Amino acid sequence: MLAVREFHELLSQLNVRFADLRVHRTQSTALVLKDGRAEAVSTGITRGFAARVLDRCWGFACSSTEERLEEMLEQARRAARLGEGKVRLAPVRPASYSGEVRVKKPPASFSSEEKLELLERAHSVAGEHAEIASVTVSYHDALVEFRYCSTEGGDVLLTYPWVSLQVQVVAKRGSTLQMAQERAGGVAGLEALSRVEELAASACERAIRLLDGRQAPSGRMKVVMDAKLTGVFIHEALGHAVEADHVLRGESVLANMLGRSIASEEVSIYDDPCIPGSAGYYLYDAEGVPAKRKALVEKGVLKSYLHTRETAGAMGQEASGNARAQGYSFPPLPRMSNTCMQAGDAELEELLECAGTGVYLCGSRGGEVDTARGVFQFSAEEGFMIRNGELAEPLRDVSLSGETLEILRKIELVGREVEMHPGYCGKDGQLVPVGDLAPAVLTTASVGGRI
Amino acid sequence: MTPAVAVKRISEHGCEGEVYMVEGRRFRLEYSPMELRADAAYERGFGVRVLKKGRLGFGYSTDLETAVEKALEIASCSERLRLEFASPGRYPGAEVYDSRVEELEIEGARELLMQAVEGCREEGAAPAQVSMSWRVTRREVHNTSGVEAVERSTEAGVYATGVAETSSGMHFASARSLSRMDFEEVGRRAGWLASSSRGAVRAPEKVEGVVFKPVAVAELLESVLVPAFSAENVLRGRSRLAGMLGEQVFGENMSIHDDPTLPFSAGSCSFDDEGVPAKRKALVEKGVLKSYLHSLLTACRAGERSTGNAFRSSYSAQPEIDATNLVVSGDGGAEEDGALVVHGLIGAHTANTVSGDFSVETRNAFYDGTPVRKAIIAGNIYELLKEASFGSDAEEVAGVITPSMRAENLRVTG
Repeated sequence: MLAVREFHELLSQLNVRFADLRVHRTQSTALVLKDGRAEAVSTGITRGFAARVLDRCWGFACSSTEERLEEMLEQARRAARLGEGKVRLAPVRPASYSGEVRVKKPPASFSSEEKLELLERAHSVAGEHAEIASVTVSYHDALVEFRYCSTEGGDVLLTYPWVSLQVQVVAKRGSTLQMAQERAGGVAGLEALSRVEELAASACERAIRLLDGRQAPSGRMKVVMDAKLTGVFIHEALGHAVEADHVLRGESVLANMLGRSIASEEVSIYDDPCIPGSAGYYLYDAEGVPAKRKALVEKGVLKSYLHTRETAGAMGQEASGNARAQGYSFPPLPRMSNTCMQAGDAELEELLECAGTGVYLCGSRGGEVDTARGVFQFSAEEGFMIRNGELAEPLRDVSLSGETLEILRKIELVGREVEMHPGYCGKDGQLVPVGDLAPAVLTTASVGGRI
Repeated sequence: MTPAVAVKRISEHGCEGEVYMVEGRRFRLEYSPMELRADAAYERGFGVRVLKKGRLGFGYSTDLETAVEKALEIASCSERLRLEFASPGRYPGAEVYDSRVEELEIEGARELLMQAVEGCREEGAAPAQVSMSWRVTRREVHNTSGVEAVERSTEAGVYATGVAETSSGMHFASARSLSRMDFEEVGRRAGWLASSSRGAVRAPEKVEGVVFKPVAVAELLESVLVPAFSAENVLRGRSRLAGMLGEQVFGENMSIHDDPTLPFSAGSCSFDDEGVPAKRKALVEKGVLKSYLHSLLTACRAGERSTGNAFRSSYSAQPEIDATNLVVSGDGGAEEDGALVVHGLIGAHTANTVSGDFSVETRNAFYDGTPVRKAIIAGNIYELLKEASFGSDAEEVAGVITPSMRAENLRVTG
C-alpha cells in the first residue's frame, strides 16, 4: 500500500475545500459445492482507490490502478465545479486509528481443503433427505484492509476478516418444486460457521414442509411474524425510510416526523454497528466516523435518522457513522448496519393466542420498499394458519404488504426472544452486509396468497 | 503481462485455460434536491480459468500475473469435470459502440440529465433522484484453443424518480447509443406516473383481469421466468421447464427470443464472456419450448453447444447464464377494460423462481383511470403465460423488449 504521507500529499495538492481517500484491498476465497461437487472454486485479490473532492458539489473518483486515479480525479474536480455549493459537512473530530479485528479461527489459517470439508458436512446432512433434489452450499471468506484519510487529518487503518456460508436446497415431489435457504456469517472467523449441520437440516426440513404447504388466504388479517421476518420488516419498512438521503429528497414518509409517535409504544428500534461478529459490524464508517449504537425509534417515538456527514450537515444533526460503500468503486451512502428491535416479554404461545385467527409467517425471501409512499412488500419463506390461537396447516408463497406506519402502529405484542440474521442490503446498485436482530411480533397486515 | 503471454504461460504449465479482461471508464451524474453529484471510475481487472488435469480453478486480480497464479493454486481443490473452452469462430459484429458516448464530457452530460429533470417537472412532479450514467468498455477473451476476442462497447442509461405529494413514479432506459435515448421522455414518464397517482383509492373488491405494462412485464419475466431457461437450473432439477423441449408450454399466441444482435440494445454483444459467438435464438416459438440458455460448462454436460449466454458481473466473478436482450412477442390484445393496469412491481425478485409462483405489490396501478393505493397480485407464471394476451405497444426496457400483457384469473388483494 502507499505510504500515508503520499496519500496526504495527493489530497493536499487538489486544492479543494475537502477531499478524502479510501483504499480497499480484499483477498478472498469462494467455494461452491453444487450437488456435492466442488466445481466452482475461486480465489483472488481486488484492490482499488476511491477519492472524493468537495468543491461546489461532490466529485467522486475511483480506480483499480494508482496510475489512472489522477486522471479520474481530474474528471471529478471538473464535475465538482458544477454544483450550487449546497453541501455542508457535519463536523467531526478527525479520527486516528489503526487496528485489526482478531477472531478465533482466521480463515487465512485454514487450507481450501479444510474449508471444503465444512461444506461437505452441510451437504451430507441434506443428502439424508430423500425428497431433497438439489443442494447448493456456498462459502465465501475475505480478509479486508481498509484505509481512510482526509484533508482534515483523519487517518484510519482497519483489517478485518469476513466469512459467510449459505445452504440452498430444492425439494421435489412429483412436479412440485420448493426451495429453502439458510445463511450464517459475519465479521468473524470459521467459528461463526460451527453450526453448518443445523443450518442444512433447517433448510431441508423447511423445503420439505413447503411441499405440503397450501395456498394462503388473502386479505387483511392478524399476522404473527417470526423473529427473522420481523427483522426483514424493520429493515425494509423502517430502516430504509430513516436513511437521511431519502428524507432529504422528499422520498420518505418519515420526513418531518422526528419526536413524533410513528409506532406503538411496544416498539423500540436501534441501529447498532458495534456488535462483534455480526454482519453489520464495523469500527469506523467509510468517512472515518466512529461507529455507534443509536436509537431510531424509542417507545414508538421517532428519534433519529441514519446519516453521512453530508446529510447530517444538511439537517443540522450529528454524523451518525452510517456512511457505507461497497468496496472502492462506489461513493458512501447513508446505510443501515445491524437493525435491532428490542425484545418484549411475550412467549410465542401468547402471540398466537392473542391473534386468535390469522397467519404465522416465517423467514423471508427478500423484500422491497417504496419509501416515498411508505409501502412495502416482502415474501415469507413459509407460513402456518393460526386457528383458535394455535398453529394449524402449513402455507406457502405468502407475501405481506402494507403501509409502514399503519403496521408499526398496529404492533400489539412483542416476543421475548431475539434472533440475529445476516443478509445483504441493496441500494443504488451497491450491496453491503447487514444484520437484523429482532423478536417475533403480532400485528395486522395485508396478506396475499396465490390462487 | 499481456493476455496472450498469460495464455502461453498457462499452456507451459500443461493446462488449458482462458483469460478474461475487462477495462473501462464509467461516469455517473446524479441530480437531487440535495445537490448534484458526479462519479468517475476506471477499472481494469482479469479473471483467469485454468483446467489442470480436468480440475477447474478460477483466479482474479487487478494484476494479470496474480490472477494466473491464483487460478493455478486453487484448481487442485476442484472436482474433475468436462469443459472445452470456446474454439475460434466468426463473431457477428454487433452494433455496440457509439463514439458520442465515449466523447461525452461531464458538462454535456449535465445538459442531457437536466432534460430528464425538466421533463419530470413539466409533468407536475418534483424530481427526487435523477441520474444518468455512461460507460466505455473493452472486453477481451483469450484462450488456449486460439480464441482472441476483443470488443469495445458503450452504454448509456438514465433513471428518474419523481414525487408528487405522497405519490412517486419511476422510469428508466438504457442503450448502447445516445441516439436511442430520450432523456426528456424518461423524466416525463416518471413525473407523469407520480402526479397521476395522486389521490389513490383502495383497490376494487373484484377486477376482471390485470394488464401489466411493459416495465412490469419485464420485471416479472426477468425475476421469475428467465432463471427457468438456464440450462444449469434445468440440469440440476431446478426448472419447471426441464424435460419439456418441443412441448407446448405457453399459449400459441406468444414467442420469446434471446437476441444479442439487435443494434445498440442494452444486452447486445458479439460474443459472450467465454468467447462464444452471440446469436439470436428462439426460446419459445408459438408457445412451444425451443431452447435453453447454455454456457460452456452446461453445454459440455448436456452434450450440446453453448448458446453464448455466459456473462460475468465483474472480472472477479465466474460466468453465469443469463439472457442478452429478451424479446417477447404476442397478440390477442391487452384491453384495459375492467382490468387493474399496473406500470411496475415491487418485490418481483422475491418470487419463487423454482415453482414460478409470485405474489407482488404494485407500483403505479390504475383501475378505470383512477389510481389505486396498493394491491398485491398473486399467481403462477406458467399458468399465466398459457392464457395471457398481448398488446401491440412493444417497448424496450433496458434489455427487454415487450408489449403490455393482459392476464385473467390472478388474485388481487387490496
